[in-house]
Amino acid sequence: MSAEATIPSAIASVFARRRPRASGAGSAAPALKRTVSRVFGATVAAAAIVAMDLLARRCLPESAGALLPALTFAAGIMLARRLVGEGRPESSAVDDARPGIDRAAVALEALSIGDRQPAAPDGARSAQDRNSADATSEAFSFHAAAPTDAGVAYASTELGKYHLFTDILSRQMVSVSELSEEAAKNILANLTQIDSQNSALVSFIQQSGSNEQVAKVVALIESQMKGCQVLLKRFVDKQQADARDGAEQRSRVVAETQGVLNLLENVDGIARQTRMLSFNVSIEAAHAGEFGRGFSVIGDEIRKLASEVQELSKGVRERVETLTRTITKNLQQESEQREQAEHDAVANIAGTLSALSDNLATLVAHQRDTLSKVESENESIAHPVMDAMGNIQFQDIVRQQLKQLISMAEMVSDHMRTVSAALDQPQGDFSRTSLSQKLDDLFGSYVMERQCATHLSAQGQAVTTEAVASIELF
Amino acid sequence: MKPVLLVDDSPTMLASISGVLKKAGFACETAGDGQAAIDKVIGGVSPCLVITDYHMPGMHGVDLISKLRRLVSTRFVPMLVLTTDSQQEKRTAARAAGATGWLVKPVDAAALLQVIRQLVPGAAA
Repeated sequence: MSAEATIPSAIASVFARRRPRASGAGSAAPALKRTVSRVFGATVAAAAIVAMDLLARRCLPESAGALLPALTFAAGIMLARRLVGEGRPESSAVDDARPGIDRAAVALEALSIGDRQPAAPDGARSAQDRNSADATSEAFSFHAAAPTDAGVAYASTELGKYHLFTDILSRQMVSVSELSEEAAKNILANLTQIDSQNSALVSFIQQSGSNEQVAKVVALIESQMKGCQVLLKRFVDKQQADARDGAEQRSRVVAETQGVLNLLENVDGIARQTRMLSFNVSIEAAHAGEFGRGFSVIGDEIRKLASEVQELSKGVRERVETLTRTITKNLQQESEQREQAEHDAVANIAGTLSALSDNLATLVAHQRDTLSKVESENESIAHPVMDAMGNIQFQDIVRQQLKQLISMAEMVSDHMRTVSAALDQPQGDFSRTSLSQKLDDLFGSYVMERQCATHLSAQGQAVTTEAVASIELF
Repeated sequence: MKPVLLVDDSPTMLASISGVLKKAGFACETAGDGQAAIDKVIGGVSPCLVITDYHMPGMHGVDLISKLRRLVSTRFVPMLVLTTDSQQEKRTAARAAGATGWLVKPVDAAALLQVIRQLVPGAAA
């Protein structure tokens, strides 16, 4: 039997022992009355504190644990002070307190946990009990005046109001449950949105980066590159043809120039023959004597004319040869420079196309790597998102546990009402209102292993968990 | 594609489990209590699997399974109980009523999917 369980019974027995006897109580010595008063005061205080503590520890949720000592101590002191009263003559106080003492004894007996022994009849108390009561009184050093019925009334009223506290507690727990449900819904909505957007993004990337799409883009670019190469080849062919035309034109210029030079050669020949003819004219004129003098003048003039023609022909030849060299040289240089520039340009274009092709291959490979990476990352994100969605189940578990706590609060409230009623009706039958029975009922209502384990642990009992499969297929 | 019918009085549970199943490619139908589930089945919903809570207002999960077993479209459909309750006597009652399995909340998403794929292979998209 634990200390907590025995104290209420012991206190109850002290109260019971102080019931008035048939006669002689009023004639007791003042010293005895003082002793009785001191024992009574200290005992009531201790009983009230222990009773309130017991009720609170057994019935209130753990969340109220921080308030338990203060609440129970204060409630016990108030209850004791109301039961004992202050500032009255000790003899009359003891007498006045007797009805209240009796009722409190009955009530405390009802509160007793584990101690099921009925109160001993008047006169059956042993000397040991009395010594124990005196010792309790000394230990608390509590000097109290006599109790009154007002104390019992106060205790009854206050205990009757306990449901106000438990109602608030219940409503607060309902509020917590609703808040957690709302939060869980929001978390799920956010997770769903994240998952949806992630899936849409991956789908878009997959669609835009699929092999088919890449192949289409690559084929298009390769086709365009081939078109560029064909155009380039045509351009090169045309330039080569133009170069050939230029060479032919240069050849024709040279040939035509040579023709002109040949004609000039003929002109020189004619000039030389004309000059020879002028000499012959001069010779024949000399043979003719006086009659040929006029022919001699003509011969001289013809020779001069032939000489001028030769000079003119020479000048034209020189000019034509200079012009030919100039034309040939310039055209040749221009052609060579143009061919070189065209060669360089074609080489640049070919190099650019080749680099473009390489870059395209690199781009395609990079794009495929990116797609692969995105798919991999999406897979790695998908699992935590799914796990997080599944973990939201905690809210339902919390909700059910809060529901259980609300039932516990109602149980406490009901029991307080019963205890309050017991103070007013000491002769009632309270055999079915013990906290032990209520705790047993509470334990029987659990459906979760964790609830059972917590309950047993709070009672200081060993927790043995059976290996129950969380997933069982029949 | 036949849906998985989820029955639970907790909107959070319905959202959580349906979220997991949809992400895994399953179609889902949800009901807030046993009667609503029966109405859905009678109304034409033909599930490939039923997952029900045990503690629900009006009708508990094992009662629901018993009633669904009497309907043509769900007579041979696998039915799982997903609950916080781990009491052996209730498991035994569920098995007698025709339940296929018993899962205790919270159930791991991957483990749940493994069980479902085992019971209804090929049901996901």
